[in-house]
Amino acid sequence: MTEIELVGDVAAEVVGDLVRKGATGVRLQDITPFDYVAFLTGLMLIGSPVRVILAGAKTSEIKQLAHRTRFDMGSLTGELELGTEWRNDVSVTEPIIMVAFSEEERLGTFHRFTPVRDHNLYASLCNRCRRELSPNQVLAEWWQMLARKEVMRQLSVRRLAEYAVALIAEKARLPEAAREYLYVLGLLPSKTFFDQPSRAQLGRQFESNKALLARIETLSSADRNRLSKSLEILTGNDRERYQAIIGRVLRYNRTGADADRKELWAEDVVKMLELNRGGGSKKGKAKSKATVTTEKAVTEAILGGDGDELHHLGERLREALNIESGEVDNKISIDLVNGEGVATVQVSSPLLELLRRAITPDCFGGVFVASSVDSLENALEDLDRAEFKPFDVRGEKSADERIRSIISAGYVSAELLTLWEAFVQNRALLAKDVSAIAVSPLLAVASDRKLLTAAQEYLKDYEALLSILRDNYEVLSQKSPKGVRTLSSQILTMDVVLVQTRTGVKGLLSPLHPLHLWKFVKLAEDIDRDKSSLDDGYREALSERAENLPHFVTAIFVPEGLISEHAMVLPESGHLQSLPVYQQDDLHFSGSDGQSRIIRLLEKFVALYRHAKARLKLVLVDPPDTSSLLEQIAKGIVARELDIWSLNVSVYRTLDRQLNLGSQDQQLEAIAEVFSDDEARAFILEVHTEQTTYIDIIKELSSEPVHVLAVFDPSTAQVGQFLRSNRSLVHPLVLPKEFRYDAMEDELFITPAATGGMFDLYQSLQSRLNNTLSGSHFGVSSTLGGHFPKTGDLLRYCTWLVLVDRLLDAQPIKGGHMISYEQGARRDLLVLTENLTKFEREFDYQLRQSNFDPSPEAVRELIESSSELIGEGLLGLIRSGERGQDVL
Amino acid sequence: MNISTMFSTISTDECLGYKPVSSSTKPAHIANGLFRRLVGKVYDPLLMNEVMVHWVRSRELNPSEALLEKESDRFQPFLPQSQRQAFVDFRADLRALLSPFGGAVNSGNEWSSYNITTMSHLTRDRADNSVGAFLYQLLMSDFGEGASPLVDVLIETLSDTSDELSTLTLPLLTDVAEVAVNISTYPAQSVFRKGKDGFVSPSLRNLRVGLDQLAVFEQTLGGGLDALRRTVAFGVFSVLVHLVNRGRELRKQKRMNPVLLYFGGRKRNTVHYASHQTYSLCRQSIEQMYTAKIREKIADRLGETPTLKACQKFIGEIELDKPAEAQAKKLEITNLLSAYREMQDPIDALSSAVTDVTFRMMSGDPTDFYRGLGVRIGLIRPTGGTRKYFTLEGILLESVLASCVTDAELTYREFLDILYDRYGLLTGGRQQDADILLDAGIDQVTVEDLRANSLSLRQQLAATGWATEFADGVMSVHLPNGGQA
Repeated sequence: MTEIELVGDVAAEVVGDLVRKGATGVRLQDITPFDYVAFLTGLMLIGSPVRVILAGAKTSEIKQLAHRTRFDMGSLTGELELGTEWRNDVSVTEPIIMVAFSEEERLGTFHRFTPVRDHNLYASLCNRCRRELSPNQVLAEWWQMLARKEVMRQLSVRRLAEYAVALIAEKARLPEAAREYLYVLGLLPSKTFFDQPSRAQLGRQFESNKALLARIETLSSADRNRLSKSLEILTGNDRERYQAIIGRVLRYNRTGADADRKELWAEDVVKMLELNRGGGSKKGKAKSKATVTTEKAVTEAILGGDGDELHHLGERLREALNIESGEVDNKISIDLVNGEGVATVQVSSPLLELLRRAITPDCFGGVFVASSVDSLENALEDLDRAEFKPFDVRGEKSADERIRSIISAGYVSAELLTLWEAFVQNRALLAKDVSAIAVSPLLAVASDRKLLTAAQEYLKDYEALLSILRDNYEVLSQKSPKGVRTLSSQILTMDVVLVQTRTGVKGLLSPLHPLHLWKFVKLAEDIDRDKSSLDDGYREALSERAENLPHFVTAIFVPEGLISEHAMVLPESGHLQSLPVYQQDDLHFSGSDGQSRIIRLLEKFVALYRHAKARLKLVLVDPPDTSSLLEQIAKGIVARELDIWSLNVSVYRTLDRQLNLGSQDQQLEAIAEVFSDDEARAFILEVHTEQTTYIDIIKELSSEPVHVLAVFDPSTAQVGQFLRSNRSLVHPLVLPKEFRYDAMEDELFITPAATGGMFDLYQSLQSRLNNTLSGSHFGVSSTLGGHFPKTGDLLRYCTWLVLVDRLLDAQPIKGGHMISYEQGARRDLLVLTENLTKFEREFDYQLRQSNFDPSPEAVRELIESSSELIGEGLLGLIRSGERGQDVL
Repeated sequence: MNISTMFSTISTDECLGYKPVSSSTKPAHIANGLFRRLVGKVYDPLLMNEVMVHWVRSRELNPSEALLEKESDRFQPFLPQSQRQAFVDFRADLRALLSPFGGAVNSGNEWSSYNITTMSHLTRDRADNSVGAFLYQLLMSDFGEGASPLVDVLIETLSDTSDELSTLTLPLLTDVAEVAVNISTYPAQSVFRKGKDGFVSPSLRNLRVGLDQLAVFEQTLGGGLDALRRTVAFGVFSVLVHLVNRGRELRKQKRMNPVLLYFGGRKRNTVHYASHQTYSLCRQSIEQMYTAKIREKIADRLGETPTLKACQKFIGEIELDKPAEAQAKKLEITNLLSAYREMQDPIDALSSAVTDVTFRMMSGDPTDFYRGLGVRIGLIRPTGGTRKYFTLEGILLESVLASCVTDAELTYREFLDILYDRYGLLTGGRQQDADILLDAGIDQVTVEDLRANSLSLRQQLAATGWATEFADGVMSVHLPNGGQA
């Protein structure tokens, strides 16, 4: 049997089903061509007579077909004219089947006939193969997986039929043939493809095989390098075999031919692409990671004492940033030499442009006046239009001039000038490398010993400078009240870039701001010093956290006269690259940190409540980056990581922060891949862009409860002056928090604040400028109160309530049981539920399996204490099982 | 044998007449290269350049104060201190208008190309890598009726300064230096070889027909700055069509390289994947052209059936521009030869190995050049991953339509025939489209999806006035407004 015969037979089966269901006319148009003989033979098995129009077939061909198939000649024609007469003739009672592979006149007249399309043939073919070519459960699942709509969108009927025909011919050895003939489906043959038997796992295999194929079809420079290096290091008996595999990969890249793909086994291809990875590793440890951030890579290199890797990473980063044309790529990828994989870092070219202009050896930052734009992003995109007022290092009325004058007047000792000059000199060294420090600060400082030393000196000088200024402030203010104020303002605004837009002032710390640079320098020093004494757990935590260090300056003080007549405090609102951003109008953190953890929560939810896979209902309130979250959800569904058959997502907005799906084609395409309208309406997305309230959302939920309700940034935030409660030293990985309970209002205020060392000095100077109490600082405090409903009220309409906000660890929770609490650098994540039955039942079962007889109270107590486990709490106990079973 | 020289010879003297080596080549560079040859002059709009180039990295290269002082007469309205921001805005606006997307304006005019609206914007920028000369030859070749009528349209448009953009820049162009351009002989004579029916090369013959038809459209319905936009879009499209078909033509293959256009929007189907496969075919076609030419050169030295030893000796004699890298590169070629040798003859294996290494030595190889330009004119769309697809939209769709449609109305089917016969473009609207794709080894596409894809194009044509759909389902493709201006 050939594939077109098989398709013809399947088409007859589809038509037969329709006729049996009562269709009086069936139209097979715009469809994969098939064999007429097989089709007509199949139609004769329907059991009732039909009339068939094979549009465009010549009379001689019709005669021949009738003769070969013994189909009634009077019921078969190639002429549409005659077919039209049949259709109009009331005496013709047999169903009429019209087949047209090409465009013919008068086809439109059959438009009311029931259409049969490729997808009908495809689905029917999968069904047939599941019945006839599935000697085991895995292959039965495989055919069902192939019948999925998203797979159907990637495979043609012809290819599927060809695959089926190949398997029919090899029926005696079906499992092996199913692997070998994967190439017919446009995949790489694979020995391990069917090792994982569930449909979801087969789906993942399908996608990863496709991705591997796409990878060798295009072969990036990095992959070509890898193959080339693999050729260099091949030795021994397998050399020839592996050489041949690489040759085939390269040849397939040139031809894309089936014959070449047939010989390329997926496992061999992966092995060749990975062969040289880790080959030069000093420890020779096999690791599985592929892509890491540069900050993580550099942390691991410091921890491993790998100076070569450090040097290599730093050199490549600087090379990539110092392209003469100025066209820096948005993403820099660096192949690791001694480790495995690639280190990558995102680059914002407009931000680099701003820094190159404002942060130089002669410039301490400055103010960009971009009064025609609304946002910082727009200002960066159109920087040429902005007027720039630099904070010059030297010159009239500069800090330099003021320091020199107070020394020559004898108000302070000459030590200040020595310190100042050393500070400026060290800063000049750092300023020359500002792009690298902005893009990957830890890598920049750790990869260059001279730069690290300069940075250490720079920070010391800064601290000493602040100390002298603070200690002499009273004396100086008696001599020149205005002068000391201005000098202090200049010192405080050093390495701050302000952008004045139509909607207010935005601030940005420069990569050289001492209070920002401090954490990277300190971390590089600490890791290098303690690397030999750190255990594996701490090492892992370090490399995880190093890429997302907290920002220690939570608000910046803008002195009067700089932007407006009054002094201003700008709270932290987000970040650009590694740099914190501050602005007046939105006190909520605008970055997307913490958002992606929702995906893992959904995985856990459907693992625990398996019925929810059939129709998961999710409500998102105020997601900071809606399009990226929806993109992640969509990608998770497509890649089968999120095993959901149907999903209903509603997005609401209560904050001033806008909701929109953005305009990035790639994101929108990924979202549309899942949520665009289809007949089944399995995936529905509703985005309510108008501002609403929590009360209204509860009203909506009361009529239609949901599985998961995720609320972002529900706390209210306020900027203010806060008294410092302790003077402990800070660590680069942790931003300490201060707590204040208002008993009258029953509200807890939480304020993150860095204290000790130069942070105290910096805040002290700020307090003096602001004429406030010493020992206080500016900050942003949060509280979950007022407008936010009781969590118990929300839990009446959802199974899980997820709160994603900063400072959740001590927020008063009114109602529900906490099942997970995860801390994050910018946002914590809290999961609450009213119903612990699932957990109780499973705990009870597991304990009884281990020969315990727990009372219900003991189980509940155990659950409550488990929920406080660090990390995911109770959710950490939910895992997807090996055989598609989900276990606790 | 120096492999860089060999690559240049193949590109410039034998196959193309230009060097497709940079992924940064922009349509504006090519437009500048073409227009300056057509006009026969270049200019040095220095003041315009200074006004546009304000900052370069951290350096304020041309401070506003200095410009106002130097050209106080010209910038009279901006002289009051209160107008400083207006002047800065003017400079930024001018840059936004005249600097091509992605940036092609640098300090000075030696390496600057603008969004040209008038001939005084033309510079001597060579970043087009002679692609402008290719288009110039395509337009100027005379088959008894003179050059393409498009030449007159372009020169007339470039001579006109009445459009808004040219008017805006006029005060900056009053004393530009004018220098005549020497048009040298086209280096690759074989490319534009003529036969009795026009060019011997079928793709060039078809492209010239398209350009001439575009001229007719511009004379009746188009003109103005849009004529320049359409010409640049279609000119770059012509370069891409020729580049992917040149190898086939040298191998005497008659059919065009199929390019499947995808109009399905964001919900991908089998056409999307098949379109990516045709993109791979185009890339492979370019690589194969170079491999075949390198093979010829190796055969000249070693004969058709060299021994492995002779191949290794050949590798030892290869010269590289950077002697420091020579050893490593030769080792790489040797290793690749061993890899290819498992399934190819020594000569084919060697030519594949040399092509691989030659391509990898460049910062942008010919396939990067193809991709870069394709993306910039909107013919190739990236999709996030490694896959890409072809489509036609906006000004490119308009220029391709204008190059196909005459006064006489076409049926939709005839229009699709022209798209494929002239440019190799497929939409899936014809029965044979699936067969053409199948012949090219692309069978991962369903007829249902192909028809739906073509239907999207039909809807676009009807919506933009380029076609009318009648009640019986027949569609007629015609000039907008019935061809009336």
